[in-house]
Amino acid sequence: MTTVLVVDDEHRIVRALRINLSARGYEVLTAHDGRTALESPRCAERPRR
Amino acid sequence: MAETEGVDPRRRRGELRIYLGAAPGVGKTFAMLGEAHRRRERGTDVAVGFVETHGRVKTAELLHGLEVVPRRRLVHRDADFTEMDVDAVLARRPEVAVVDELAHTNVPGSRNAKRWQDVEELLDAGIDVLSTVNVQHLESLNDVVQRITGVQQRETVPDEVVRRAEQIELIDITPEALRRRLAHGNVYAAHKIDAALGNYFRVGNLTALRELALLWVADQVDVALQQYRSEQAITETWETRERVVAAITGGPESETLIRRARRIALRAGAELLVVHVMRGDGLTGAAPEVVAKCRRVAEDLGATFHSVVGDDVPTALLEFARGVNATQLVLGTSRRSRLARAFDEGIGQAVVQASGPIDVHMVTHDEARRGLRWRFGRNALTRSRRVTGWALAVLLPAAITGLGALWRDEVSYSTELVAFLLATCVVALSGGLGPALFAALLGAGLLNFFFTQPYYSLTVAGPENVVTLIAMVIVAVIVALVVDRAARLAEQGARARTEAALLASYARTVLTSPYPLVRLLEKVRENFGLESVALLERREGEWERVACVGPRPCDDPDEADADVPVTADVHLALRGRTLPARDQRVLEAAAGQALMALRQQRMAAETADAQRRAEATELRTALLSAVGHDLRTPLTSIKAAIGSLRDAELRLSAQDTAELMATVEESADRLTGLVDNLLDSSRLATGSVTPQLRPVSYYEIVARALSGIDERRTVSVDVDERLPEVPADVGLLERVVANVIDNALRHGRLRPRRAVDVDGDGRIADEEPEVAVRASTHGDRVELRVVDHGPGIPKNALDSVFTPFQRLGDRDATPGVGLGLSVAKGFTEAIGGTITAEDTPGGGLTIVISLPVHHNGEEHEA
Repeated sequence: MTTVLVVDDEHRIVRALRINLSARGYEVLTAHDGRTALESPRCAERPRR
Repeated sequence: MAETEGVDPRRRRGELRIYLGAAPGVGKTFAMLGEAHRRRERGTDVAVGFVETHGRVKTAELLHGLEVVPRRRLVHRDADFTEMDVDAVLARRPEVAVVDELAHTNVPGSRNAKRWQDVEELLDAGIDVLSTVNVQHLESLNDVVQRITGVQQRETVPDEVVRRAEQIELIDITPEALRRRLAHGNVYAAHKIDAALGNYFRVGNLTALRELALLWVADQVDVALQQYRSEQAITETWETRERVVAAITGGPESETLIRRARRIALRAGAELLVVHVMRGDGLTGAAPEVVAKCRRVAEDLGATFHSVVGDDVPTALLEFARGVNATQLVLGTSRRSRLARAFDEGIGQAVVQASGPIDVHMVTHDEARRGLRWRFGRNALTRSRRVTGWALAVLLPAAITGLGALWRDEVSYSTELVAFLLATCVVALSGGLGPALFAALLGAGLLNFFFTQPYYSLTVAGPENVVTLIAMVIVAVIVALVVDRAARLAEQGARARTEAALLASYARTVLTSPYPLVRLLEKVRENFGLESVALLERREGEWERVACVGPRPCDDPDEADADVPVTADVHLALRGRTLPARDQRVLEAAAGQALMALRQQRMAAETADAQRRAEATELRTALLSAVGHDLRTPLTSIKAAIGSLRDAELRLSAQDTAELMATVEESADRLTGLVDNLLDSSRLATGSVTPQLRPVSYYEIVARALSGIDERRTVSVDVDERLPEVPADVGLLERVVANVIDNALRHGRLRPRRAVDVDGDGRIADEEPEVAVRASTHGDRVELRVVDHGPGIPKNALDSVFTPFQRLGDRDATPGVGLGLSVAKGFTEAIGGTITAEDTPGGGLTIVISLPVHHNGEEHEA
């Protein structure tokens, strides 16, 4: 399954996108700023460039 | 009308006496009738033209025993009215007529529109009039009174009429006493009392009206005083207020003098003016640094510093002192030795003799009696030097002759000759040409008479005697010329220094004063003892006064006593006295400085204008970008949510649908809040916020504010229900509190404990209340503190958090236009409170909203 990371500082936009994408069958991760996005589990698995 | 006074002695104009009161019921009519009785008892013929008792028993009682001229009856719109019968009063011709309510408007159809016009007729007929007027009826105070009381006065009387009265008696009574009088039913009928006490006769109203009345009368007295002074050309001072003038020479004792004068002024509760007197010829030139120090000391002590130029120091000083209405003058005792004082009485003595009503303090100081330092060669030929020269011209030859006669056998002719030559030189050095020539001739004569053969005769025996005479005269002339030249150079130097000091002071004014032009003109006026100074500019052939100081400034260079052109189109026009040619140079420079000041002022105005425009543009740009961002974000959310909802391909659960709907609603709320703040900002900017104050409790307000905030569970509230109420507009205060809490929530958020919002509802579950709202009383005020623990704001920027579109310490990510706090501040101030920002101990920002405790008094009923 494809995983999508949604990052935005506006909670409501994140929420709307999350619902939309999940309904389309994606796995959705969310974050509210760049740092938390980088620290999210899937990102952390990849080696940092 | 007033001009006819005294022109025709047979028809003297009557005198007007006015009883002035702050409000109805203070007792004007009562006082007026009392005076009428007193005059009647003194045998004056008194008649009452018109008195309205308003049903007041005590006033009616006072009418007993006074002759009342019957009133005229008039019918207007089917109603009966009575007015004063002017013809009947004129026919009756009493010495004194009593006419109540000067401001009364007569019924249409009367002979005059206003009663004061009736009164003018009586006065013209030579009848003295006693009348009354309330301060709210004075024309000039009409709008002020309306603002205070909210009642528009239709009956007014021109100030002129009242000011022309020979005597104005203020009937003064404290607001409390008047209210008591009212409550006792002495003024109005019983059914009107309560309404009157609650409306027009509120303590606040009455106090304001009373102050108006007192000020008006005080003003009247001041105008009368000034008028009298200018009419009588009085230069004597009037001790209306204590003013101490300290005169300094710029010598080493000046500072001591200023401090002593300050103490004298403090004791007398007086204003202190320090004046530095410069001699026009610059002979007592003081070191500029000493004068500058004195200026600093004077200004530090709250005194004003002035410089005056005058050839004669005592006269210049006294002119200045009278000009500023000084009551006391502080001088230092002379620095000169007792011997020097024996020849010339000195400035102090001269001032004391001419000071008139101004008290003169002679202050001793350490420098006194040390003696003047020897300044030979620098001094020009002052009067005292010439006197000394003449004395020496007589004494020295006489002494030499005496000594020569005593030691005739030991002293040769040549020794005598040398002695006389020496004497001539000394006299020339001290007294100049005149005494030197006299000494030379006298010396030659004495030499011839006593020391050449034949002795004891003035026979010119040989060429030797002629040579002696000529030599002595030549020596006298040469030395005197050198001395004279030196003195003249010294004088020029000193004068140049005075000029330089004046110019420096003008330049300093232009550079440092906030209003350089007026201040500069004021200095010129002061320094040259002028009446008025005006800067005129020609625009399209018409002269226009750009700036002026002093009374009666010129409007055209032709009117001026001295006209100093700067450019063809800018002139400095002086009035007061004609100035000697040598002052012209300084004046030209001053005029140049005035032009510079004018240009500088205009440039400053232009710069300020440009800056305002730049700021407006900047603000508009900030507004657009901030509003753009803040409008777009919720719109994007709405668009995303609606898009998902409308997408037929998506199969959404009931919960998803609900969440998307909530997103739309929340975003719409956010937009509404933003628009509200924008509208409120513009209402505040245009000043159209009108708060409706009523006592409210913070408890209620905080509850209402929180109900509109969706993140309220992160706010901890500690507001006691029992706290005193504050006077506030519920709607406005609620917006203030909501905005401040909203700001704290948005900016004061701690870093979330869990980095990623795993459950994905847009909220971070594991957080503690981040914003605390607390209320407490502090003396007379109740304070609401909204505390966050966010990044806080640098100390020096704390004040600017309330500036619109200011997002201090904002990372770009934080939403909000930066209007919330600005609106909060505007509203808080509109309801009479204060709002301040401070550091939260341990980091973060605390906003404090402070309002006064509500008192159960009538002051807040408005």
